[in-house]
Amino acid sequence: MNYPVWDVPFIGSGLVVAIIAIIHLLISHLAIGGGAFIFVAELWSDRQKNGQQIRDWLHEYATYFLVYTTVFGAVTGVGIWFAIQLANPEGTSLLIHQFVFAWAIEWVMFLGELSILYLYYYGWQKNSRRMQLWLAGLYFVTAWGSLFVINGILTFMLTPGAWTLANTSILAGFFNPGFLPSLLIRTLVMFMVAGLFAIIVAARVTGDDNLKERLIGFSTKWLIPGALIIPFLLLWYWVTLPDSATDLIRGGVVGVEGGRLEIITRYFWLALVSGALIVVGALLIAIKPRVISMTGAIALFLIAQFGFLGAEFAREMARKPYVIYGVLYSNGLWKHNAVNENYMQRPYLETARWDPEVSLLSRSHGEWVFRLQCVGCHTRDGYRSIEDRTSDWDAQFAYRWLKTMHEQGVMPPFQGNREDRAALAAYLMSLHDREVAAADILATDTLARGVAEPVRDEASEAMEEQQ
Amino acid sequence: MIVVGALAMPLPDTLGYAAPVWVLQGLSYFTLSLHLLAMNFTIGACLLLIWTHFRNRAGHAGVKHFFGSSLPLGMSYVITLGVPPLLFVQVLYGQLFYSSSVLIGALWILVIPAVLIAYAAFYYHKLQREARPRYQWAVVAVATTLLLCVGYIYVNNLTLSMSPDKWLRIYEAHPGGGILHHGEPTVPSRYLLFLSGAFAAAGVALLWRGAFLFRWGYDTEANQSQKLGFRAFLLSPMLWIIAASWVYSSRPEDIKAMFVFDSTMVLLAVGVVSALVAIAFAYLSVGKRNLLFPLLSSLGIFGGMVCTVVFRDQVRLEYIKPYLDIASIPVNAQWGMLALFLMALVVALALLVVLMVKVLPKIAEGARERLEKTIAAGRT
Repeated sequence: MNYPVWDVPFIGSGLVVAIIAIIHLLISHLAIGGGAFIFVAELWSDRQKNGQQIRDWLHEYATYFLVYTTVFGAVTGVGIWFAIQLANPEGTSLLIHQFVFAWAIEWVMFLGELSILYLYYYGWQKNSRRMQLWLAGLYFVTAWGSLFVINGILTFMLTPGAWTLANTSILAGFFNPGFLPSLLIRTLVMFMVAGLFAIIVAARVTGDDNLKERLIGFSTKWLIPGALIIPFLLLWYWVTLPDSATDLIRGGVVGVEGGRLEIITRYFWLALVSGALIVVGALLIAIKPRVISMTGAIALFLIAQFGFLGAEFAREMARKPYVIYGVLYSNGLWKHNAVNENYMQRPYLETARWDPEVSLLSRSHGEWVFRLQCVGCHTRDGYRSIEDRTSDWDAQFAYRWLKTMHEQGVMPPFQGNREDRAALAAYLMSLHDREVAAADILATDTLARGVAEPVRDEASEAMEEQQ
Repeated sequence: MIVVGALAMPLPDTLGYAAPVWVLQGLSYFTLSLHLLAMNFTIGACLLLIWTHFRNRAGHAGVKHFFGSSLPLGMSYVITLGVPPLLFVQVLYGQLFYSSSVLIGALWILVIPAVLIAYAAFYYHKLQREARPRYQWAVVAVATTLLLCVGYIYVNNLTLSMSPDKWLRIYEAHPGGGILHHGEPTVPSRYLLFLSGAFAAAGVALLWRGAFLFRWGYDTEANQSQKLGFRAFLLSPMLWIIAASWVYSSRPEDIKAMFVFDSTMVLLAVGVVSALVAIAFAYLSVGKRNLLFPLLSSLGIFGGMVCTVVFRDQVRLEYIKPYLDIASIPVNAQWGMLALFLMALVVALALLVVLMVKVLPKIAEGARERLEKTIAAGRT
């Protein structure tokens, strides 16, 4: 373990990342799609009789848009960065070092979009129509540019394609198999989010039903391209996913027929159902635009938030057990080390860097193995609770299961020797107030195997000799 | 007993540096100085806003309004300009920075809600100060307190990143990262040093404001703004002298040795000269409509920031010498990407300059009209 593991009680570091990311995703999609919306609405207003009324409304849209996207969007965007460096420093370091100038270009885009937005917003009353159009258009171009860059880095994590540690070509990693379908899906989703946000602002219009109707009619049209095209893009995206990821989702769906609802399936369905609800809701609004209230419009926007929650969790889970697919496991173990038997069977705490001195086979020994190998994904008693998962285990089962846990495809392989496994198994039992000595677990295992093995295995002794 | 090494120093990233160290350092210095300038302006503006609220002398209402309107923009650029230095510190010193961040993880992540609340408070103040004038100063005071806490957490983290010998002990006691690094004697002095520019940055903003007010014919308001600006400005050098002496005296002896007849001394001298230039032109700005003097004063402040930033990095390199030699980290240069970044930066900055030249005078015209209305309303 190269870095310390942030041990967050109950919620876990992964959920900290998820909470910030899910809030950010909706806002960041709005920040880009909203740019296109403002640009097109500016053009549209020029062709309407009540163009100035529409532009006044558009200024109100821009006010909410500016405050919401710059305050919540910008801060949660930086927040994701803070959270991932705490939750997975090794993975963050790889992303930063591989894509440092891509991140820097994304920042340039962000600096541009932010500054242009201010010039558009604060120059509203004095700028010429032509200038306002230029600013709105440039805002969208720079904002979409930032999506283009970040999309390459995000999709790299799940579908790194031809990129490996031996071939660190930035083009191979950036223009990975998931890049294009993901970019197109996100672009259409952001138009939908911009339309949903506009419906909220349009629902505030009072005293002019005709204007409200026209604004809502205009806003709902922003959902049409996404509703029609995204299903096909999802199919394209699906074929770019690694087999194990699609197997995981398929397995979950099949499991439903057998009465078992896997968590990944729930999130997958949450995304799909939310998308369908938004389309149906927008259709109803388009049919009866005058009846839409603020509450109804906000409810639809919140459904979009749930959609992002489902899609984001499903995507994260499809990547299991990796943080960079096929390269780096979620708990900081490199894949190339995982296939090296000598590396994997070394006494874990002697190589982990971030543990204090502990007595061999003590509870502390097990606790530190747990902290450094498991806490990146699991909490003891909260999110992805290890207590729940091990409630009906006994010590021997835990000891044996740890050796083969990676065979299910969603967990990384265990690092360490028999003592480490026994200490961890004993620690897991202690979480249920079942005190089992790690030494007894080892002794029972030795007897069961009918072989008089020494307590310390060969790998440990070899390490000691080397030292 | 399992024997472990006393030092928990992570290995550098296997990918190495994507550009020569001097390139990454240069980018880091430039962007961090810009970030510090925006940060100092925001903090200084908050403090002066609160001060003028209670002092409430002639011209203070306008100053309060000016800062209240500027705070959301200031905060926005504090965040935006804070991104690249955070990026480059991760590239250059990732194994130090990630480790120290995790060691204070619970507090480090609290930076995000604190900044969010402060930023939202600035918008609340700007949009609601006229409709709900009561306790608006308290809204700004809460935001200021949060930002001051954020600054303290930053200084804490970066100081801790230079002390790998303390990491394992801290991690063993607090694996959730719920404690700050209070034991390090240089933390409070470094904190004060980085905040010492706050009054200068906010003060020079008032000099700019005064120059524009002179041009628009509001001589009384212009004078009041510039006098207050200059007085506030003078607080910064005083604070800087106190902070710098404190920083020096709290350093270990081997680090103090750096301060004698070295390139760092030249850096210190350039910094002092920049600060003197800033003060001189700030003084010359008072009572004048000239925009060149506030500009030169601003550049002087920026020059002082750059020197502080470079100096700080040299001290860091000295501190971490026993643990990490950045010259030994391989460079796998991504020249194409670096060129693309620089091109994007130049094009974006050029575009922004063109747009600003066209749009800012119109925004200023709008501000002038609003000011006229405010003054007319005040007279009636």
